[in-house]
Amino acid sequence: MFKRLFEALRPGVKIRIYGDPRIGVQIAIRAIGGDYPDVASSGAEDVPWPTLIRAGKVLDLTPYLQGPNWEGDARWIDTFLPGALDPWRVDGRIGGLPCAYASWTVWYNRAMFRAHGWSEPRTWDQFFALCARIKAAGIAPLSMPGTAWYYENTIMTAACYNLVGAAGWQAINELKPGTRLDPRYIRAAAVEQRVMQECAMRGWQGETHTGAERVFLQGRAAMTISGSWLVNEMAGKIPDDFELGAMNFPVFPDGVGDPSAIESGPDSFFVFATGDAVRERQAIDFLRFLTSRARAAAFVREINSPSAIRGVPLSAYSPRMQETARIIARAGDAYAMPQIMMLPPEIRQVMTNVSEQLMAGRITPLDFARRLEDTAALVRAHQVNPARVDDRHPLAGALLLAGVAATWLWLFRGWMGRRGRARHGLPSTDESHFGRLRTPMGLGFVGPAFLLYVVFVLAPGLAAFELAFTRWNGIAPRAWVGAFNFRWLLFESDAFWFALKNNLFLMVVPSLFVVPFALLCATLIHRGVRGGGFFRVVFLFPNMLGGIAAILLWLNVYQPHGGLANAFLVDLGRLLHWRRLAACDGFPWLSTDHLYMALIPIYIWMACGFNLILYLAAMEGIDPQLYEAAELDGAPVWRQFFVITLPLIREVITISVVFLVIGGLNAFDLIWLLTAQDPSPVSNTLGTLLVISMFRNFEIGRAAAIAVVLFVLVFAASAVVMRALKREAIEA
Amino acid sequence: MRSPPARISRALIFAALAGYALWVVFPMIWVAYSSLKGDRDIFNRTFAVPSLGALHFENYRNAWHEAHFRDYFFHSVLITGASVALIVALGAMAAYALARFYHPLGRAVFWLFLAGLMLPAQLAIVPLFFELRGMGLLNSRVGLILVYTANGLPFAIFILAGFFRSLPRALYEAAVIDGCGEFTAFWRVLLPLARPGLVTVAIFEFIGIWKEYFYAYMLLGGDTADRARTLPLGLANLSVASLFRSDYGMLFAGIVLVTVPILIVYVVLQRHIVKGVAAGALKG
Repeated sequence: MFKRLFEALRPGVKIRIYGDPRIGVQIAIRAIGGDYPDVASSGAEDVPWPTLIRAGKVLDLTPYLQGPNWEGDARWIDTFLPGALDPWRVDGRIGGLPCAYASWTVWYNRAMFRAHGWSEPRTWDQFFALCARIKAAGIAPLSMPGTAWYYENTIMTAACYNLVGAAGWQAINELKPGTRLDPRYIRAAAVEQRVMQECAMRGWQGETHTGAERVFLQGRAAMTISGSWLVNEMAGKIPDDFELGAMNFPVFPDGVGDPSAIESGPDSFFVFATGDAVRERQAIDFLRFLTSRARAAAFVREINSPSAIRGVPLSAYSPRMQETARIIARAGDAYAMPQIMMLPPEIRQVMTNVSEQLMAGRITPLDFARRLEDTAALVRAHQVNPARVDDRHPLAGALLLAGVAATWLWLFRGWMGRRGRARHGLPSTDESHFGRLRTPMGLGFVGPAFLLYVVFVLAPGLAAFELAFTRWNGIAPRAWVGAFNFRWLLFESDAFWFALKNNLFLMVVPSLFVVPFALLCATLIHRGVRGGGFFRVVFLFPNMLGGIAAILLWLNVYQPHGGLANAFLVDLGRLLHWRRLAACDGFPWLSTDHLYMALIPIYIWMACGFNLILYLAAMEGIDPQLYEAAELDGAPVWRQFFVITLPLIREVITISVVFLVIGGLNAFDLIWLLTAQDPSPVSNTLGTLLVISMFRNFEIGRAAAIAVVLFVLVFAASAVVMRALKREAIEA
Repeated sequence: MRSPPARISRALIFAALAGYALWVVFPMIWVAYSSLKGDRDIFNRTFAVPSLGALHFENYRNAWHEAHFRDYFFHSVLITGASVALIVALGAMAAYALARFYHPLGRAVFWLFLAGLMLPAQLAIVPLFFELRGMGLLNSRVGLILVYTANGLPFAIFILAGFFRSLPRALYEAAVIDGCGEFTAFWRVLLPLARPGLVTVAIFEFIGIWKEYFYAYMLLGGDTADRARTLPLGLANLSVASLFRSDYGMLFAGIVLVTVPILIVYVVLQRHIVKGVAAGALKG
């Protein structure tokens, strides 16, 4: 709509507009690929905008903002709401221009409030008192999404801004020393903890943000915290008779921040420095057009969501948005979430992690503040000296290094020892050969395959080793940093060790379940059961299906409200009159705490069939006379299994364990999709950490270093097992 | 005539296996019939079967047109088909030459290929991204086909070398005496005999590539990849989008659409697949 209008006003300018729910990732990939769009807009969490702004890849809009607006009756900069331009001020430049505007509000069920005689709380004390009354009425006070931690973080942000004021809030975001040990910061953290512990609805940990909104709109919770986009996002899903109320966050009686200030979340536009002055000028002209009063009002009408432009009439807003519009119009200032998102990745990772622990009540607000203060100190130290490595995991790092070194040494010695002995493996020149491979035929037959293999597998694989020794963000020139990336990962990075621990879990635990279970089933089928062939075919299918469809299937099985797993448990509980089972509704299977446990059923479902077929094939290779002899001797079935079956198929079991172990090291899809492509730092595996380092943080050297570590581990694991197998074969 | 206790234990074993089979199958059936339910009913009435009068076929229509599954399906067929064909053709030639002919470098090349079975996909991905960008193959079908082919070759060569090695030498000699050139001997005489191996390779590569997500996600991420995006990628996007639009009916329909081709291949070729898995194990 806007596009056509603008093209009519500015003949010769063609606009291509493109939108996608994962637009952020796509912009990041285009930016890292050096293929910049002219103008882009995205949520702050996916694209490292500060990096791009600092590197000059995103235009500084300050000079243009001093110029006239589209109508030509004011300076452009003055047409924006107060505080709306602050989020993207980086080193004195303004990189992002807000158009769509959002404010975080506490949405409440007005009819429910009226029926019970509840009123809007103004202070946090009133808020907690209200929650107690709502709970006493048998209703959940607050529906929250645990899978998007920044929804919960808005509580702390609001409390903190109110306590420390605008200047204090800025100091916190600039990571000034001591700001996080300020008692007011700790008090704000305590508010978040108390809200989540006392007021949040059961099962919030596994709820997605639309899920939390739906629960609220179904009347199962009295309030929810969300942005002003709720109305747009839930279009068609809000019951017609639902009376939606909106209020700003509560404040403290002793708060110094402007009580009318809103917590804003602007969706900003960024103009890329393409080096083409004409295109850049047209891009800015287009943004000026988009932020004109007429366009802003039209935008509000169309999208049913606020605009960052002053003077949009209240009549442009739909009835459901009136209250939000008034809250925004009244606001004397705005403080924004993106400032949190703009913090360096290290502190964001720690923040995600400690926020989860804070909300779960595992750490005190003071511990929370200490961890963040320490991390902020670390980030400051890195800013001064990027080559610095803080030894946070000296023992674990040293152990890993020693372990890998010892393994490789052992392999190397074995290899040297074997060289002297007779060669085995592929026969060299014996009667199995048809003849010599002459060069033309060699080139013709092997050449194409080998060329492809070298170009797309071997060469990039080798190049990863070189990249791993550099620091590179895809924009600035590459810098050789020696072993820094490895030292940083092994000795300093918490994220790396979380990921490695998760990989270890996936290497060991699924095997413990899958192997015995598959062995049991294989034995049962082997002993002869009607429909054995049918069972084989059925059990193997999940393995063939595998991948994305299977994972998404499980994602929906694990839906907290109404997913197959919980629905089944609830019905079973009702049937057996077992109250604890019946209360399973809302159990957050995929929350950070339970995610890895919830993977075990998935593994059994997906991997058992494959292993079962392997074992069965091996069992069928065993001479049946052995069993007949044992039967005559009167050996019970379980003894036959341990004395005959198990020793004879040990090799196949070892192979299947290798598959599982390597699969555990490589795990990516499972975690990536079950966490909606946004795993918390403690849920990462090395695979997902690699992708995040590359596309979210633009740490390409670091991503390559993770890949190299992964390779070293996979290779060592498979080589060790193959060696062990060979040795057995020789000894046997 | 069996004794009654043995019959009871047999019945118990059957029941246990049937229970497990039900557990394996039911989630899939649930997704299949839920994909015909209205958006609200999927999670509000979890077990309810959709009423025959109100089947929501529009879930499929929406997924096919609105969510562009028609395009994704076409891309997936094209990319998977081309990759599998290339893998089988190039892999068979290379495996044949490496397994049955002597060359001083042959062993080294063969082992290099086999090493590919142990390389994690993540190792090469970062440089590969920039390499493809440099070649202009990022976000393109050709780029993805070449990457899939290169990554599928080690498995193909590993399996096919075994098959070629098991063929009798006399066949080749007879062909050469009859005046066949090297290529004709391979094409007319030896390749047809390795057909079971070729089918095994084709099946497993098809299944692997049809559901491949990691490379597709990394290499088709840009918005210019409109003409290349594959089904797994589309499905993952739909899953993330359903967080924003909460259109679960469409998502369930999408899962079914991705599953059906694998299901067909599996049902038609199940004997071959079960045998292939078993054979691979004994050789490995």
